[in-house]
Amino acid sequence: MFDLEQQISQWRDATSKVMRGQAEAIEELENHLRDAVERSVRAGSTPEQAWESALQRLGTPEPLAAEFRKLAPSSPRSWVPAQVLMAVQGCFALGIAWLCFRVAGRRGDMLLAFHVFCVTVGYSAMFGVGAIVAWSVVSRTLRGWTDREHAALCTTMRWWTMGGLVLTMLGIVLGSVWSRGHWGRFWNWDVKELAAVGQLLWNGLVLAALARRPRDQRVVLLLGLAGNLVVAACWFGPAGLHSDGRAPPGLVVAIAVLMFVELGLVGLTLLPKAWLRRAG
Amino acid sequence: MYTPGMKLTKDLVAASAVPLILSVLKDGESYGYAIIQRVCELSGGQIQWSDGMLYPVLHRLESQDYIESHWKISDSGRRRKYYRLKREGRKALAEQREQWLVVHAALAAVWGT
Repeated sequence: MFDLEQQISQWRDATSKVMRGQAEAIEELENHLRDAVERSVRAGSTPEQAWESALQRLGTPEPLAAEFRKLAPSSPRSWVPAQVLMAVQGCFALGIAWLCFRVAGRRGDMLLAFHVFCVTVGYSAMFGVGAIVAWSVVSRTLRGWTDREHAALCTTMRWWTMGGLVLTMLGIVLGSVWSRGHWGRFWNWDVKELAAVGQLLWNGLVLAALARRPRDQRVVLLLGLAGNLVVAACWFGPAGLHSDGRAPPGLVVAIAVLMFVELGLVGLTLLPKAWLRRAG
Repeated sequence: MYTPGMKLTKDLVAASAVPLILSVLKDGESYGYAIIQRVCELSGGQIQWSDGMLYPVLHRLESQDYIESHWKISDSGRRRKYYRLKREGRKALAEQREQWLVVHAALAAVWGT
């Protein structure tokens, strides 16, 4: 005697083996099968015929699973590079918090500690964006890139840039209050202050560009790569210069290496599409 | 004009999938099986999709922010995933429509129909 529930259960087991972690998609497909069977039975088929026909039209689990595999997760929460970035960024933020408040505890200057924490983590968020974009460029070149991966990258960039913007802004405000208390003025036109404002403007530009959802994926990648240079200039430029305005040799070498790597990544980003591997 | 029993090429079926799905969803929210039935009905049975292949396309459109989905209990008492068009999807549909009309006009002109 034909038992539809038993057949569906067997189909579900077989499909779950090849579509791991996609319970929602499997439920959706199961619903489709049930709809198709119901319709065929109403049209006069036996349940067995209806089931066979529905299965045939749906296709076997393996090709279906292959199609779903091409759809990498678009949510940063389920995208491994974003998870790694989150873990690294979290550890960095904790380390900076520990360092800042330890020093602040000794000096009794919590306001300065909050300012340094916000600015440092805010700047580092943009390096995080640059790092994940660099990984994306290499990944796109070597193994192909899916729309969902790109969507996940854009969402990650949006969140990180927004976080960087909020923290940098908060850092500027706290720094101004601290400056008022110690130097008598909120704003001193100091090179570090100007660099922080430059960083803020860049974050705003990135968010505006992402909001327009550029059609060409390369625009997003180039934006992320450029962000590395902007944050390096805004962060290490003012902090690294000697008091006479000269750059120490170490900083020059670091910037030269960064420029060299960036140029390589820009080259990979601009490779003709035909030279890239196709995802899936 | 369609020849009865004519089968559209795989490439043409694939290329028309997105505008068809977006067009069906423009009329209101729907779910996978109903979308397939609607497309079949609109094409007079000429467009026959492999049912399973619709779902990855729906998921891709969702990730592109063209459509959004939500689960709700259907009349049959089962949980069912419904899709509806988003603003980005409407824009994409308008663009696709223009492109298909250009192709249609060019072919009509060259074939004198």
